[in-house]
Amino acid sequence: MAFVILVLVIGAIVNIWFWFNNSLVKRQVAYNETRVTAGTGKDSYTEMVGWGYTPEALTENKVIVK
Amino acid sequence: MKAGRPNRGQTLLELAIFGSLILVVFGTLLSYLNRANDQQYVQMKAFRQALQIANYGGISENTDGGGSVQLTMMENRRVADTGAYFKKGAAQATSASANILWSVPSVGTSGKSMTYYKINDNYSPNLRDILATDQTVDHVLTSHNTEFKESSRKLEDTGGITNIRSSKLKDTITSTLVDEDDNAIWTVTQGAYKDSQGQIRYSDSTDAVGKDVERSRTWYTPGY
Repeated sequence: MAFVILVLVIGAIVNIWFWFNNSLVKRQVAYNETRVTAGTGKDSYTEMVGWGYTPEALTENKVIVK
Repeated sequence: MKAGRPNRGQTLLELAIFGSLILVVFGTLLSYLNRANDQQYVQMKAFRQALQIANYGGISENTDGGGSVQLTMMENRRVADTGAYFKKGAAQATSASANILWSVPSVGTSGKSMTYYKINDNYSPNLRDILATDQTVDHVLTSHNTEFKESSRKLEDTGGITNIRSSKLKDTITSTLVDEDDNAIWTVTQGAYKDSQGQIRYSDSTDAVGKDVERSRTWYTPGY
């Protein structure tokens, strides 16, 4: 039983680690995709400064190994 | 100890030791990942913001656009304080800078040279206009003043128990740009506030400085 709990906790920690890494990568992709438009000059920079990326929420389903 | 006989004491001891180690590793990992996440965001934001300023020729758009800008961004982000109260948290500073040359000014004008510091929500004035010839920004001094109050209430009735936990945070950060001789160049006092997305940010507006950020959580346990 203790071994099972230990595996679940370590699995949850690793899932959180992977979620952070994926967030970094997805933000970089969104940033790269808007790079040319940002350097072209626009009347309004609002969406370019934000580069249109919203981070995914870290939900229970993503963390707990089932 | 007979072979095959379960030893609960040993199991509990191992769990206690390894459990503590795992929590320490987890806390360290979380802290590192949070830092990496914030650093990437601020670096990207600084570059895009500098592009905007260079294109506009200033913080707001104007007809004499184009020029060179050196922008340094500093953001204070609150993270959970694993050593003390989780809800109180602590403000950690992350900074990044960007240099942009947008070499298409209006015809007949020369590009403007600009140096800005953006600390949380507030821009400094163009430092090229206020610094003396040999004067540069050497470092940034910051001071924090944090007040945190936490309360919990329990309401019982025949249907069940309602628990309400609430906290009030008042955090004021004063940042000063200082030159090599420790002379103050620019000072801004900012208070914590909650933005439209629920994130805690800092601003020098009257709605933020000296005001409490309130958070509460309510949960209900039905009776049997």
